[in-house]
Amino acid sequence: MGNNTDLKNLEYPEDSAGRIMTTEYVELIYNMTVADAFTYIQEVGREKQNIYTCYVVNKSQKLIGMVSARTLLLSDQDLFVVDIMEPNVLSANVLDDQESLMSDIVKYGFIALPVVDDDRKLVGVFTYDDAFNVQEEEVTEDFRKMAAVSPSEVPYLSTGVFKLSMQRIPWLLLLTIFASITGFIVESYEESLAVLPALVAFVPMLMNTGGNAGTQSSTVIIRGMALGEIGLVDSFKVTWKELSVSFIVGAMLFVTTYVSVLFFGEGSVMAITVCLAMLATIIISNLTGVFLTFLAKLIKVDPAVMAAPLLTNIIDALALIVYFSLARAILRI
Amino acid sequence: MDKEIAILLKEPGRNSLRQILESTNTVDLADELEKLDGQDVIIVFRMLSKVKAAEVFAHLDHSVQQAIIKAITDREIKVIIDELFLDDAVDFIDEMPADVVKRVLSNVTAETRILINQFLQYPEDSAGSLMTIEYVDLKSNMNVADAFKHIRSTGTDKETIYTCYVTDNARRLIGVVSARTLFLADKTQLIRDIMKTDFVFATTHDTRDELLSSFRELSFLAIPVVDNEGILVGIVTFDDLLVVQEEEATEDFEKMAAMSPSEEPYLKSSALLMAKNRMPWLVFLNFSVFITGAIVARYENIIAALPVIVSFLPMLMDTSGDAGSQSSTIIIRALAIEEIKISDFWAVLWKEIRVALFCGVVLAIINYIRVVLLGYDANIALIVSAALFTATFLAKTFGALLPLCAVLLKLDPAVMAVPILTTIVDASTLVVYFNLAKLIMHN
Repeated sequence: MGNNTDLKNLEYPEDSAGRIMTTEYVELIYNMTVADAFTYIQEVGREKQNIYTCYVVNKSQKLIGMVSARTLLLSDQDLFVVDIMEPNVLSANVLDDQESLMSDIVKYGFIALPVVDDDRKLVGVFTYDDAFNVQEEEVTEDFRKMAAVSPSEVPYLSTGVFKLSMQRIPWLLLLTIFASITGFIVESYEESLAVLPALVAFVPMLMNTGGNAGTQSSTVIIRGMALGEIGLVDSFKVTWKELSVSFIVGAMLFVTTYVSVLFFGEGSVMAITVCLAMLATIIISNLTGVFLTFLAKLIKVDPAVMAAPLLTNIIDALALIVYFSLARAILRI
Repeated sequence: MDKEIAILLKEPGRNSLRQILESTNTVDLADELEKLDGQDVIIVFRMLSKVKAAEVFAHLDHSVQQAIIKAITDREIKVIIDELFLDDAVDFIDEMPADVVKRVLSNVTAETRILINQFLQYPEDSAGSLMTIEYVDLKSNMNVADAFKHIRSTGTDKETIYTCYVTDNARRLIGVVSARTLFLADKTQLIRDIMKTDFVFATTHDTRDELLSSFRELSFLAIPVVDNEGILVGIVTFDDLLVVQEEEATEDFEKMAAMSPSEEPYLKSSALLMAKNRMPWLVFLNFSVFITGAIVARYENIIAALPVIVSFLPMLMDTSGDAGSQSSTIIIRALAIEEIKISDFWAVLWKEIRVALFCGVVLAIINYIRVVLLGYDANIALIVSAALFTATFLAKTFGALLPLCAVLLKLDPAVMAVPILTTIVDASTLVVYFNLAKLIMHN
């Protein structure tokens, strides 16, 4: 079902309503009676994908209403379609993005959404099973973007090794270059490291915690944006919320990190240094998560591309600067 | 429109408001209602017709539902609960505090009360908790004309009339017939002759994932749900499944970012709850210091002698983290949408190993050139590249292996996710890197 792409559909842009809609719907003329409508449905219904939502058009093919099979069935046979139809019908434009049609279907629970052209002429319908497929594809695309893999519509098992690699290598390369910037930062602290190599022992933990915290905040924000729960206007609220979360999480981690470092066999001065760095890392991570996703939204880039990989690099750089500076100040090296 | 409703409310007679309420669909009305102040919500809600009020109520936020229930009379409560589809009623009651539940249940018929209590007992996330009982059931000895008569007399209260269910005298499900078939059939044909007997059904304890999986295959408008004895107890409709699909995706996103899943929308969750959801894995990462930190500590003398090698650590660790999440994300998602199954275990693993080798080699070569061009010693470039190859290879292989193993062990593949993966890969990378560095130093 779904996706029966008429040749004509290919003229519409990719991912548009026109591309995915079906042209197999039941169209009723405003002056039919309920009995006429039944006869008509019986005549054409066999070839139609969806006979449960019928659309009513006027003489010039313009969409003026909708009537469900349920209403037809429960109505008097002599009534006119125009009298029983629902005139306030939500429709989509043929050039709309399929994602917005999908959200409408999910939001309103419609079986189908009519698609009209600029003159409000009915040209097709988008059905609930299309919505299911679109939702699945969009989520997959977001997952891939968030993991820095180029989008692909070919199923995993039928994609060759070379192609799979090429979807991933460019991003990894780009990220290694970003990560070298962090490397230069570390290099400028080389003297401190030579004096106190023990500092390095906590670098993996700090980096991983920072990366993870940043992934957490960016993921919830990206998903919230994708679902329309969070918009640009909420930037202040989100920042404030992430800041509060950072302090709660940071305070808790301060304690657990302190204990961990002591058990690891370091003194309390070192423990305090690592803990302060940890607290700073959590705050930096969460705020960077907010900043990057909202920046993406502002410049109209999909926030999903700002997720984990890019984010982690920025967080690492900032977290290490804080860590080594703290170490220099507190441990006097 | 939010301003409009608030303004129109002040007009004498409120006729234009009545018109807007009449012509706006229930989902949008619920959105608008949520934006109004406490007292206005009740006033507007009371202006709605009985049927519309129930539909709007079903779409409201639980906090608004609660406010309304507290403000209206017992009689009004009864009307609303009677009008609600059972699945919406159960959803609502499930989220209410005990005193509200008590008041609501004392105002409905004994029959409804028993049904609601029974539905509340189905495990969360099971087909039983998603289904509703407002379906059309037909008998096999009816003819098409009888069926239409039956639908006409009962159809207004049904959630869907487009798929009708045929039951025997013991209420066991024996067939399914679509409204389309009824429409296109001759009026005198018997239901038993036109019904489909090889239909798909779910049982009350099926999980949401199992429902989504059949929906993916069949795109039904509704799926019948039977109990252990094959007795028809309800249906799950497509609109609920679309919402389930959205929720499951959100849950997977959260799990993969190493968080406990939450059902509350972001802006409505308290900072404390959010902190609680994020804490466990972050604390776990604290303990990773005993693995990765311990490894680093063992090689402290190398760091002291050759501190430059530390400057490549962030790059190695980030790249391995990214390479691992690429593989695990793709595998987790492919498993979720059933693009790959557990029977593909070896095919997938073999494929990822080859991808890992390829990516590792390409990255190592390019990195070698880059490090040399930056003016580092060729030996340094060599160990960094060798470690980068190891990191990429291990990250990708483990990234694919862990979700696959999770499925083998019947665990959710999305859960294992990043922290464990990162710790394993970081530890292996550090060991390789420092040992190579040691070799070079001795030469």
